[in-house]
Amino acid sequence: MKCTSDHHITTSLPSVVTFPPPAKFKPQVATTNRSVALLLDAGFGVLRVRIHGRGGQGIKTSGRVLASALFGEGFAVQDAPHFGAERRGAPVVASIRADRSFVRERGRIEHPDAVAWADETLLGALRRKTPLSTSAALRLDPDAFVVVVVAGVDPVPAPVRMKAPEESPEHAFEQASEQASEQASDQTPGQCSREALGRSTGLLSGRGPARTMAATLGVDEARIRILMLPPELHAGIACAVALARLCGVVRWETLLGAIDVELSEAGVGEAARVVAHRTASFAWDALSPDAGVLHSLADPGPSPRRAGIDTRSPDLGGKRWVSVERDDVSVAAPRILASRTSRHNPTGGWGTKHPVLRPERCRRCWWICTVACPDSAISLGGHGMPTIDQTHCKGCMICATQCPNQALVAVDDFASAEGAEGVQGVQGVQGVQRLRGIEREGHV
Amino acid sequence: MIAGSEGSQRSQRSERRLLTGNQAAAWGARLGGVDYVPAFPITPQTEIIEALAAWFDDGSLMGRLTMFESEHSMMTAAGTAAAAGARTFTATSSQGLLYSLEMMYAVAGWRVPFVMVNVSRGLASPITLESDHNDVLAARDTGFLQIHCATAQEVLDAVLIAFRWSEDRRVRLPVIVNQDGFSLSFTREPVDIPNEDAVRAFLPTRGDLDETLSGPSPQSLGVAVLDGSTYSYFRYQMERAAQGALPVLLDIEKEFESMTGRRFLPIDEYRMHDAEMAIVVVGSLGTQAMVAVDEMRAEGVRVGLVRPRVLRPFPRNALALTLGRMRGVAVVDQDLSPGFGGILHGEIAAALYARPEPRPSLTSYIGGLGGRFVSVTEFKRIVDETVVASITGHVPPPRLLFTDEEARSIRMLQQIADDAPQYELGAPFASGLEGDRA
Ligand code: SF4
Ligand code: SF4
Repeated sequence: MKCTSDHHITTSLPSVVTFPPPAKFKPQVATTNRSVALLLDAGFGVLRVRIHGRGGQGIKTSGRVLASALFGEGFAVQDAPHFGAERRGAPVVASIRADRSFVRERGRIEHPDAVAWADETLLGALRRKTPLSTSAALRLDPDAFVVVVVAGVDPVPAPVRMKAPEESPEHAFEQASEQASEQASDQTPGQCSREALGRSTGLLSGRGPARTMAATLGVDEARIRILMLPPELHAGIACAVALARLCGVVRWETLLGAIDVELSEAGVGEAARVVAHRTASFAWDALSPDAGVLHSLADPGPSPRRAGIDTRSPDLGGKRWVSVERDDVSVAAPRILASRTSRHNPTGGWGTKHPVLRPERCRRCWWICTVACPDSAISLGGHGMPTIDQTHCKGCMICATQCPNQALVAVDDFASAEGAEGVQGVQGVQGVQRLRGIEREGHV
Repeated sequence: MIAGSEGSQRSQRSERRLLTGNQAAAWGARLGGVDYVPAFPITPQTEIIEALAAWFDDGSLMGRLTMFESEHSMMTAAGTAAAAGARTFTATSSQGLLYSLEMMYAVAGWRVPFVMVNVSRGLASPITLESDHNDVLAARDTGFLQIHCATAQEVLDAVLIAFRWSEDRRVRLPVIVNQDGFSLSFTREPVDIPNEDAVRAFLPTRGDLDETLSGPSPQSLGVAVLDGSTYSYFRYQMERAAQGALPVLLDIEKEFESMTGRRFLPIDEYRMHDAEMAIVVVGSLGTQAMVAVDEMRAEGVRVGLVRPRVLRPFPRNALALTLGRMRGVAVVDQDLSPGFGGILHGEIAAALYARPEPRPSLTSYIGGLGGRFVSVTEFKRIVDETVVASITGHVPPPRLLFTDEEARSIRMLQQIADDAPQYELGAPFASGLEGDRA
């Protein structure tokens, strides 16, 4: 996009190279023949990317890492995390813009150059009956670049790449699966990564995952990268590194510096720093064939999309203003008479614990836990004992602290099943599977 | 107050960092050498007092931060500490500001100087966390002066300026520095942090006050007067002090510019030199409007932006002078007074009424409520409509910005909640661009 600042100086290549400072600007590590100068000369102007994830996944910190890395390379950045419900597990998005002069545009990035998802379960919203403000917001421009991180994959196949549109995505996925099974000879051949993806996203539906994602997101499937991350690595950091790699103007050392600064500001310890560095190395290598791809997009000349955030049109870029008329007060007051919206929002995966009933201890008092639950997730079964709706329990454990008979016990979703020995019905419960299972089952 | 030797070891140069608006506010208080911070947490403001608490804790700041049980007590403590001579800083947002409102009137009437950052957030009901200006505008009649910021840099600058302004004997009123929740409070931007020694020269410590309250010499503030004349005298004095604060700000602003190179005029004008049309907006939507102005300028539209930085005292004359020569003026309010419309629009209209005819066509838009952003394209459409109004002389009724996509979305939400089965998707929102139902 053209730079609209008053301070914008139209520059030829040599003078731009002095910004960022020459001492810091050695693009050979990250960008080989590409540079900030090329980026700007191509009319690229503002770089706009988003990272999506869930509360607790370090998305805000990951956005900060990317922003600090770009800032370290001399760009003015705007780093705007957005976390509506401020709760673990709730969707979070970090929006990062970068330009060589102060970034003036604000608000949601509607036309990102690239998007990274730290949690593929968020894509489940695409298949749901969701308010347009959510589903429309997930749709991207066809030439946007997409990275989907699938965390906790063991062993890890090579990143699933759709090299060229004519190459069948099924084929590419088969290749990846084969690689995975070669790496894991003790597993059923071809099962590992397919299972991981199918279990987690439900997006496979017999076709290539990238093709399905491409259709739902509205992007060219050749621009989708699925990054399978080993369990010990950090999905959010992987997103930040992948995007830094894609824009091709961040050097490896700058990136590591940004990680160290942001992690120390977040107050995390040495172990987390080591994980972040290993994640960075993994994602950096995985995305290396795509390094700088975001400006190669701009090489033929600025696309109409990049010539303005919205092209000027009487219909507000596909939308129209409407006149808000008076509704009947039964509709016009913000009341909630039933939790029907919850059917479409399985918040049960947001917690890290969940309660399990020990029936032999329950005195059937009928009301203490049911009334105490702030999410109305406990109802009474026919036998007078509570039934917990695990698709909506947020794991606050208020019920467990309120029950005078300790009939409700907390089970750590991330602990092994052995840790919950003696408690009925918790075998195999594990946080990630629980979330993914809920996401998969919860909707049409 | 800032801890001892550290300042003198710093270089004279400012330091550029990525800061959120909240961190910028905390840095303003830190550089201002704050002695006392009465506090109460509320989203999206809490990061400010967290940052200050950490600095008091690690010795970067010498002084005291005290948590209160409510904003009402917090405001009382701020007023009394300021009366006792402490350089006082506090911060709040939204419901918290409303809860302290009773004491805001009281402490402003005490004529004590302190600075409060408000992080704007929409008011209940329904509850939200994101920005609009109904909270801070509810305080517009309290006697607090008000500065409204568009960038994190401006937040830091405003806090420093506000201490000087508030403590000036010609003013001696508390000052609110307002920033928008999320779009500034949680958003990191490059910020120049001025050098401490330079700041100390601009803003000396508050040691020279003579009316310090202390235990051994008790005094009463805000006494009962019980007759209209005496009451009127004190209220008129507040009006004189507030109105007279504008020229004082211009003095301070000159010194600030010589320290930082940055201007801080009561109204920020952008590309207004040969403009025929103007957008008026307050706060961080201002930078978004600048993008629209640039894009429309490139298309040959002579449009500019007028962004009041100061809303109290209201820079009436400067606004009337700048806007009075326009053919059309579009006011975008990020607030709504139900039954009246845009609050800023009403104030701009009052300022323009002092001008002789012909006056500009003045259009009104409500946008940005609860964080609903106004896109660059919408700003352009707003200017287009105002151009038409200035040519035809027909000013459309105020528009509540809402798109067909939002309309369908709200109907879908209502249908999911089974609360509006009588409405089809989109109904009965009137489509088209012709303005509200006549
Ligand atoms: S509060 Fe305890 S005893 Fe009462 S119904 Fe719930 S689980 Fe049973
Ligand atoms: S943990 Fe208990 S109280 Fe909390 S949401 Fe779940 S069922 Fe309700």
